[in-house]
Amino acid sequence: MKGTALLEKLCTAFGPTSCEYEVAKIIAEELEGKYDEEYTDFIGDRIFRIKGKTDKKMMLSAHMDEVGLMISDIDDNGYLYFQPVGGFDVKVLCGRKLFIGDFGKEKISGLIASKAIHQQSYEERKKATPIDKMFIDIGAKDKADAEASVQIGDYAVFDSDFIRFGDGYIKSKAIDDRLGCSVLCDIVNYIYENKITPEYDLYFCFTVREEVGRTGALITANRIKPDLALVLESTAIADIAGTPEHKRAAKTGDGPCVSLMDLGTVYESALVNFALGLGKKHGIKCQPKKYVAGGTDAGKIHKAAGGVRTINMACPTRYIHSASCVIKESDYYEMFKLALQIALTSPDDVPER
Amino acid sequence: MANLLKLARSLTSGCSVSGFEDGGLSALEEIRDAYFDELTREPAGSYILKRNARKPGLPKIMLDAHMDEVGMMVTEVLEGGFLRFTNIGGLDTRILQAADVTIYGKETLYGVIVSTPPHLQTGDRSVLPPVTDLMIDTGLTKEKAEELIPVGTPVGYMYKLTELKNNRICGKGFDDKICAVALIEAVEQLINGGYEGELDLVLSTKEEISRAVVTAAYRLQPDYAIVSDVCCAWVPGSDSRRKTGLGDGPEISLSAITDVRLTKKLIKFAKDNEYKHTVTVEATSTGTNANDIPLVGLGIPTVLVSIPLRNMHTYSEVVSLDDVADAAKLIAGFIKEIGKEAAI
Repeated sequence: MKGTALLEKLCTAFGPTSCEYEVAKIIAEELEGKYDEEYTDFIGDRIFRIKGKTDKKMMLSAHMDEVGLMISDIDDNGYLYFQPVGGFDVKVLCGRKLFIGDFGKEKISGLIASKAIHQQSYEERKKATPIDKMFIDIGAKDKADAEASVQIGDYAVFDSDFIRFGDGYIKSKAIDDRLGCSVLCDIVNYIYENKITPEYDLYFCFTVREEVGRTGALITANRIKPDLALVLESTAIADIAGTPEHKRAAKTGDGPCVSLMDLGTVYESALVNFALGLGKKHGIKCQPKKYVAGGTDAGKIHKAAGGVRTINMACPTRYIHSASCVIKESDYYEMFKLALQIALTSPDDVPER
Repeated sequence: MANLLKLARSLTSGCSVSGFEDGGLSALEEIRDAYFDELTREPAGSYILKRNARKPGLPKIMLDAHMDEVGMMVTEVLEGGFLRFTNIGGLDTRILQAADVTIYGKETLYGVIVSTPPHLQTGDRSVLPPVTDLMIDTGLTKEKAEELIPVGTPVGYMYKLTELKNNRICGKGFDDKICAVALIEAVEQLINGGYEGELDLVLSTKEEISRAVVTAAYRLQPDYAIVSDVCCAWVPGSDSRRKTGLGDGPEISLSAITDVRLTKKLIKFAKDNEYKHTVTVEATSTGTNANDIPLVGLGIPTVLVSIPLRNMHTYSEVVSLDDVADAAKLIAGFIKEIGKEAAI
């Protein structure tokens, strides 16, 4: 499976932070027999190595986890209470349908409930319900009934369909960062199918725990000690009507964003220009991200193992961290093409600092 | 239960935004063929399913559930194919951002209501923007959106019905089509039990806006009307006086605006025959079609039987199919009861 068909399969998987096993399993099955070596560390990071012509190492990284919720309490009426695992805009939670469970456990359906509009005061109607006032309804009759299906510590993720719509757009949960995972798989497949021996020694890293702590990317970078890292991400943009041009950050349909700076690091301009230049040279659409916000695994990787030169490339994504993240399908394929160019580049062609 | 679930699916899957209740027609034709003699639509849009009397002398009974649900209407197509919209009925603004919607334009299209990314939010992030400040992302170019989505196009929550534990289901439009399911089930039970009186099922329109049921009631002039609508089930944080919970069975509404004598007869009947039910007092208004039907023509004795529902006016309304079955049983039983009396 490849392209956005693989993306769909990965997005649909259940994989909140520290529970990425289902995603890892899909990736391992997809890449079976297409790599030289494989590592799995104690927290579940998956590394697939394709040996290169040189001993220069490139780490290509995407995180497997998605934002989710953790069940923290069950009340006498059988309602579940929760804490967010990862950053949420509280305004995209209320009313959402969920799958609740844990790895290896059957998932059950539920939804985030709260008082009906008819029962809210005038003041309550004007403000989003705070997370600590929200609760999950699974249809349980009482506490014992709920406990038969759910335990404290179980996770919840959005129950949201993968839908193609409009003029080549896709909406799904977990685009952040199954998209990066899917592009990495596509690159492995491309190298395998075309029997290519890359210049760099390539380490395809599917990391855990980006949404909380960024632990996976950090310890993976420490293990590999790469000469160059390419982080593939999904990034929040706002190319929506009425938003001032300078706040849109980037535009869907104009290819992947190459980050100049975010809240985790300032990127090396020689590498930013290298990536954008590769796009120009090969006729691949790409754009600088024109707004400083958010952060990615790059914030940890560039400081790992005594310092790692890092490029961050991200697919422009509307409504990120919601049940309905929106991307343009063509951006996915442009991102694959540009990431592939970087993966297959020679260490000699990468500019000095 | 399987039949109730199937009916719930077929009635809630199409377009039935208030004023645009055009979606479930094929489902209604199937229902007509199974239980009724004719299906007509009166000028205000209500569907009337008529089952003629098999024997004279029995009262004419009208059953009503409203077919419409809250939704949206497109008011402007913006650059990038984004749509401005206004609400049709009372939308809960807490659940709108990043929600999936269905646009009933020249084609049926998917859309998502925009949410503002964190970097563009200033001030108190918990403040909810009014509906008229939100937009729908169609993923279309402006030209294509203008072609397919004329101003005035209705938009509804995207259909997705989910089964929860204990015969409870979650979806959109259960307000009030789940009550239509209960009434159809009641009619089936009456027919199977050999009931011979006239039964007219009205699936009325525009309840969320103007309660257009009155025109159907005017045409029918029934001897009695039984209205079924949903009521807010208890959830944590509810008014402590509202006790009816999911699974407690149908709620009988005692209100001065409906028919107190007929309602008390219904309560006595339910008690004497041990039908599962609760009673609630809504002294001056039920907030349903049952407020309006008593005023039609020379007046119609009306009772209201409600089905408890959580998260009203959202795409995640929750009801118990056990309550639906209990409501159907109670209504069928009571119709047999009043049918008996009138025949004497």
